[in-house]
Amino acid sequence: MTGALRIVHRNALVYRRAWRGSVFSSFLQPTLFFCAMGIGLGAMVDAGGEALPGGVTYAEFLAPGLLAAAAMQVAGFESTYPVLGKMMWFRNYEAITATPMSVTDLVLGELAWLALRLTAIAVAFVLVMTAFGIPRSPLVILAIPAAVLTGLAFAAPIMAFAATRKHSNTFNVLFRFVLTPLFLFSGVFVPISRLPRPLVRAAWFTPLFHGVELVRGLALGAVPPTWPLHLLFLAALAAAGIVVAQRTFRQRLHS
Amino acid sequence: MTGRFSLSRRSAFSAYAGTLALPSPRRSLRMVQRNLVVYKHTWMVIVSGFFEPLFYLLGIGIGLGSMVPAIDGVSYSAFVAPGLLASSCLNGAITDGFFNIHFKLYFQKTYDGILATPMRVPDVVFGEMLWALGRGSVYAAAFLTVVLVLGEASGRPMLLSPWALLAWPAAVLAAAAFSAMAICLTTFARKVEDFDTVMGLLVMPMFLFSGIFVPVARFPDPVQWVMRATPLYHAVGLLRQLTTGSVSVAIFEHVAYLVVAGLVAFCVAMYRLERTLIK
Repeated sequence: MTGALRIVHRNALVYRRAWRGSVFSSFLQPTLFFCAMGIGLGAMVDAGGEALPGGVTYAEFLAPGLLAAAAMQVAGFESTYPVLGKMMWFRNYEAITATPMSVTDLVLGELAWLALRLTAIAVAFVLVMTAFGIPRSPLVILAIPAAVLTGLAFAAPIMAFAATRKHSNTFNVLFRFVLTPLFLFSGVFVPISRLPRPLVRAAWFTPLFHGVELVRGLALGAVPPTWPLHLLFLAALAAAGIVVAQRTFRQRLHS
Repeated sequence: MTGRFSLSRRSAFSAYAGTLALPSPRRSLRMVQRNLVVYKHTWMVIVSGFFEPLFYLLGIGIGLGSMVPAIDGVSYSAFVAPGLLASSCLNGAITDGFFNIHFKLYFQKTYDGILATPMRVPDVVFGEMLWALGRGSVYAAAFLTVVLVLGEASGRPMLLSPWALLAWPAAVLAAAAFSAMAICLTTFARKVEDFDTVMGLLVMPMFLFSGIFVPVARFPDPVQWVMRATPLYHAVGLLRQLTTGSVSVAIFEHVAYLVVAGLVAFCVAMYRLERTLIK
């Protein structure tokens, strides 16, 4: 366990020199999306008079969804290029595992560090939401860990996958064919009930849908009765990812 | 003494004239040929670029569009479609113009190798532009076809006028202008992280605030001035006039912006690359 903490410490030291670039991508992006889509487009949606679940405005509907999606996107990016970089290009992992640090320490440490970063992003975005008067319940505090869990449900499996890659080419495909469709069809922008029926069924098997349901329910004070299912799905995915990641990391580093 | 002086003056002049040399079409095509050969290994990245605007069209244009009332008599999906076409021109220009060229410049040193042959810098820049243009035209034609088919199949057409035929060359113009600007910006970047800043501070805000998803007129005045200054706004405006058929004199303003900005960027890019590559 202390080994994992040392990885967190190491990443914090590196981050001190590199945080500027990531501020844009991680926190500014959902905020800009919220301003353009939530406020600008939201006014047009609300004028259309189509009812949203719970009778909320479009801005209220969108903001929590963007929080969950931001967690997915940051988690997705951080567990692809940086992981492959440390594995193959800069060989940090090789150096780290040459010390008494175990592969388990390494995987858990990387994920713990990511969880910290996701927490910071979620807190910042919840503050933005509060500034716009979005949250309808104090439960919004719990939306922060829910968003972090959503991120980890992506990060752990993607990290496991990234450790098996020899090129970074596949990552582009992963972003464009997996993460972008999830971003657009998991109920972030459009209530899932308005999608064609097959897509609604498919959504139940995608992690972002569960994350959006949880985060939105908590932020708007209307937690769906299916919440244990959502929680379980995300936790199971993260746990499975951790198990597989240890295997793929070990194979790659000890080969 | 005077003789040597005049000689060195002359060679300085001819070196200067060399910088201003026009690209040779034949040699520029060699650059395109080179990219085509490499493309065989990276086609997935390029093909995937076409799907991004398509997903946005389905998710936001058609999905969310079902909840948005018509804008000036134009359905929301027909409003968004030309905007996404413009943004796909921008995306293509960025993939090629930013990352690929940066890697070829500083990591793979591709251009150093190329310049050891009879190729010169203007040929390289023009060749890269031609490549971007070819790719942009394929993207645009594919996207317009999908928009046409989707619109007709769903009974809610997204190309509303025969003017839409001109949207294809217009998109190619936008793609050319964007790639010149992207290559130009790349010559100012020193490290890969610089692109994060450009993407976060320039490209992402432009994507959201150039009238693709929300009419510019709905924003406060000062915000509108900024929006109207961006190249994406003009590309969106140009393409939207053509696909919706509400063509007005303002179209010349959009075309002029893209042509002038593209040409200026092209010249700056050529000049700066010459200085970076020829030491």
